[in-house]
Amino acid sequence: MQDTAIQEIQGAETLEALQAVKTKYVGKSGLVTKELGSLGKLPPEERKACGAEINVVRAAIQAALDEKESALKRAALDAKLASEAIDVTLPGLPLPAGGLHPISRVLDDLIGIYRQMGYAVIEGPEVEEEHYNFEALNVPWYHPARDLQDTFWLEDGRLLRTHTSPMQIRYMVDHEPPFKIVVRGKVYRYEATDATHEAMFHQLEGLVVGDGISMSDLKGTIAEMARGLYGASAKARFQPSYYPFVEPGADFAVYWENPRGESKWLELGGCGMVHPNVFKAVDDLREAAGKDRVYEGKTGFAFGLGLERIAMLKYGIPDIRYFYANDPRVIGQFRGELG
Amino acid sequence: MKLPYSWLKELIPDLPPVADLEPTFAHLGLPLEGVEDVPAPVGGVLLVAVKAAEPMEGTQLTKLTLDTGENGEKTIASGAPNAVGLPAGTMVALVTPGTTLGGITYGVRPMQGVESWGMAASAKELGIGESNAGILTFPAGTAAPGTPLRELWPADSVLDVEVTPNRADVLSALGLARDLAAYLNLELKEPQIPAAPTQPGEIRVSLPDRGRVLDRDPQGKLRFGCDHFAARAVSGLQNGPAPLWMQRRVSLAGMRSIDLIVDTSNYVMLELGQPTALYDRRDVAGDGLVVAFGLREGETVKDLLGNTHQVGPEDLLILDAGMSDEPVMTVAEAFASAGQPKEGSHVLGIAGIMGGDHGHVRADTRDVVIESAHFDPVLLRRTSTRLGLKTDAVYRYERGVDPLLAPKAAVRVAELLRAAGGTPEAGQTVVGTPEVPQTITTTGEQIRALLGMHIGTAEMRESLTRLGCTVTGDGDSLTVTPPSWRVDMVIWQDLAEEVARLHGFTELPETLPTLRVHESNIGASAQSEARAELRRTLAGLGFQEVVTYTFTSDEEAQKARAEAPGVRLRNPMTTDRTGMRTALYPSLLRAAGAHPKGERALLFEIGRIFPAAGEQERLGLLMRGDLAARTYQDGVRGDFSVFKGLVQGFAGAVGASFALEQLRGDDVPAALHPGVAGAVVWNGERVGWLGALHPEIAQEFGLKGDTFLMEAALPLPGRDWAFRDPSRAPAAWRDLAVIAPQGVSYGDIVGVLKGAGGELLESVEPFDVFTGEQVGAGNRSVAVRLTYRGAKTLTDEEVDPVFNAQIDAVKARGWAIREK
Repeated sequence: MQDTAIQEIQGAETLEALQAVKTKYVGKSGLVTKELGSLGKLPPEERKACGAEINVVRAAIQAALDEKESALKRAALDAKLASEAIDVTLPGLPLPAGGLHPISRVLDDLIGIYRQMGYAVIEGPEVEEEHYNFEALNVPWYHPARDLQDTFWLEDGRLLRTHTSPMQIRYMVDHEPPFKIVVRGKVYRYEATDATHEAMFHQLEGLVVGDGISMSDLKGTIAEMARGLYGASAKARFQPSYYPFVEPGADFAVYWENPRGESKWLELGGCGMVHPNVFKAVDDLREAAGKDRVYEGKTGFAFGLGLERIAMLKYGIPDIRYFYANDPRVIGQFRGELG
Repeated sequence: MKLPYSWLKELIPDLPPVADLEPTFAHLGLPLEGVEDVPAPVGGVLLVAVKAAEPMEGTQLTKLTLDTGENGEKTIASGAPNAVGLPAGTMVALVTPGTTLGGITYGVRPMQGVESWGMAASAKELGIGESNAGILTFPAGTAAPGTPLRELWPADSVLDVEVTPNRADVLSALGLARDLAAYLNLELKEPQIPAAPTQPGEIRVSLPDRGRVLDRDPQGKLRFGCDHFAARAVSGLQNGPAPLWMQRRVSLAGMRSIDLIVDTSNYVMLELGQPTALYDRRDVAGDGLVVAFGLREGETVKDLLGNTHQVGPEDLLILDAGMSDEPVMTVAEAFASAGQPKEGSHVLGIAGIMGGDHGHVRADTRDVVIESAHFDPVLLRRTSTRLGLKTDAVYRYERGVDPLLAPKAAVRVAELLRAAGGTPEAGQTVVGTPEVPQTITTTGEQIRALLGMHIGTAEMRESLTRLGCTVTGDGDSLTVTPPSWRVDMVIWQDLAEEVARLHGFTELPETLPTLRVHESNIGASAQSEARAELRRTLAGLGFQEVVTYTFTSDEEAQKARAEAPGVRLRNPMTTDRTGMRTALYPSLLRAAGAHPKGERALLFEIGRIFPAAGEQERLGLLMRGDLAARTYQDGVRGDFSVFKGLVQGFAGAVGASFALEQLRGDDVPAALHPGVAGAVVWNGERVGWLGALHPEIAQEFGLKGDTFLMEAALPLPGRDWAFRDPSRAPAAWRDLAVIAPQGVSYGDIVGVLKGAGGELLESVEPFDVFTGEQVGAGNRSVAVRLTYRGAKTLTDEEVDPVFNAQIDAVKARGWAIREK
């Protein structure tokens, strides 16, 4: 019986056929079950030996059943998996891939560097009072430095800020030192556009005010920014320059090794120690607003840089006018799509 | 500013070669914008002497008979205007036959009957200057006829130095050399200029005795306009070409050579930094120069170029003294009461800016009056800006000319004219009390602390002394009087910069500020962080960020039905940028228009707008086209529901509650389709709108197909999150179909259901929206699943009263319940 049963088990081609074999031999009224049931009729001295014999047969059949069942299940699963195979090289549903504007990416890089150094990040108005854009920054109305910043004047006498520096004044009027901030935002210059000039562009401005802040602190800060932007080998260089709202004033350059193996000094921006006239102008505004004069006698540094130039160098963008034309073929490059 | 290297080399004999100077200039804060190598003229260009200049009848040409030295006498025909009547002996630059210049080889050729032996050339033709107005001419005896021009006009390098507005002191060869010599610690060989005569000369000078307060000056400073004035007469001149060496320097510095007298004035400005004006003495009535403010608005002054300018009481003028024997002492006396100049009195020029039509030097000028003065920089800048007259002179004045330099410069001009054959008068008139830089006191320690760099006080003394300062004080204290030419040195921080400049900015150490921020600064970054989260979340959801121009025009605002721009440019550059935008969506429509037709646009911008209500920051979203285009499989259409769904997801991702309230009638923003418009409710506050672009606006912008927009004011309201332990009890459900007129929004129905749902109601979700005869014309059935949940398993006895209350509330609104 055992051989017949095992032959039948192995001959079953489906789980259903196997189940039928199972029922036939080890089911409630199966052949083996019946044999076991008939043991009671045997004399007690034979019963034990015969029972053991039948149990061996039953175990062998059960083992064959289990093995066959598992093999059939695996085959069924394999067949199901094979039937479910798809061509994964076909494109997926073309859902949109979002992205950030290249200027935002560069800003995020820079702001990340300054956040790590504990700077707060602020923004401010783009339509500005002449006083905040010029006078309070030690650029009186008659000053030749005004020629350096061609201005969009507004009909109501205000202007489009020519730099983010007015936020130095606004921030100091509202807050007390010590502090470390960076200001980001759009600025405007009244000039014809070409590949390297735009009427609207972006600046990042830094301002640190406290007691005993020195120009070497400024240099160290710019050097940290250089390393954050361009890696451990980047260096910073200062050269004397002039901005009316700082004294001493400097231009800073960063030594940059680009991925193509070229290396050079990039002039990135201007900086210096906050001019005492700026602190005085702030205290005057604070006093007029009923606040304490807390800036005279403090020291601080300020720096500013244009973002478009950094983005152009970083991504190899040849023309500044690409930034705001919003051609999807241009700005769409600054996300994960290949080709 | 441009200067030839050779000039600096003459002032600093040990000056390193030009190739080594670039870092030096950069370290001084005077970066070189460029170095131009100017070659010498080619060898075939000879200096030759004019023997005769005769007009050629019936032509515009002049026949020049020339002594060419070894080649003997030659003739040429010249069409140059200044060839007419050239005095015998004058030397010209002759391009001899066989010489190639600019690709042309010159030869001997007959011209209107004259055998023309080569060509007399202009500076431009020889490649050694800009002027092409006439042929180069030099004084008689400049060189032996036949001398190659290159022997006297060698190759040179022109340095183009970028000078910041504070450094007026380096706007001259001497000034630049002074700074270089101080930095390089080399000997400076100043030009030899005799001391100024102490006795007054024949020219009388009067300065304004009444000052002006300029109407915009917040300090209300009384300005007298001129605090130092030197005048000197020189007689017996023969005007003509300036000496060759002077012409060479003037033209290498980028100025045009005119004649002996004008070139001398320009040369001294380039050499010393002091502008001067030279008048023809015949025109200086009364031998007096009067510095005066204009008497009233609208006076007309004609300048030496023939242009007229309107001047007024804030403009400083130079007049002559009129016919009176007495020097004119006041402004009022300089003009008659009717606003006319005093009898016989003339305006000679606009002080420090430009000479007048009357008084200027001419070809036959023999006697001149030299004006060398120090004018108020603010007054002059004001006048020059208003008149749009930017001259080399006022460029220097507005930045700050050495207030003590005037007498010395007058002597220099006089001596150069003496060398050219003139006779300066013995005396020199000098009036005024110039303001000079004030003494500054500081300490070495104060400077070291500001710089964060160790420089010994002894080195500071030495550096400041090299720069021309007078330095006294014991030990660490520094009492510093800057030289008169350093009008930019006012506060001790200026001294710190000078000390650092000479020590080298490159030596600055690198440290980092250590400070503990004042409590008023805590949280200053909150808005910036919120903005960054919005941007990153939107990009993650598939929106592309754009940055657009904030400019707009009336036309664009009208097309977009946006508020007309109220913030308007006074000086627009183009007609499409006349004001500042009042909404974001027109910018987004413009950006969408930059996409190829039919292509999906899913855009956002965070930017500022400038409506009448005041500048504010906005978030704008735009969707056009399919969310996913159909390819080999079905796509996903970009309809309103998809757009709203994306915004819902966005709100959820930044942790905000989001709802749209239906807008109808006058409440619909002009940008939107009147039937597809909602108010955005963000964390319970209305912050903006969302809907479909009005089809007429779409047409104006050339956008076919649906466009969906959202615009919201920033910062978006936040909310505090409080943890709620999730209930493990199972939920109970009831389904309900509400029949209401179609004008009733889903939001209205949910509002009623939630209002009556109490604490047990967890959520309301629609599962069927139906219109048809079964629910009556004009009606709509909205079937919703109501989910209830409590702290423990809810029984019917607990849920039914709530459910019934909701049914009652629906009926109380006059709506019906659809029975199954």
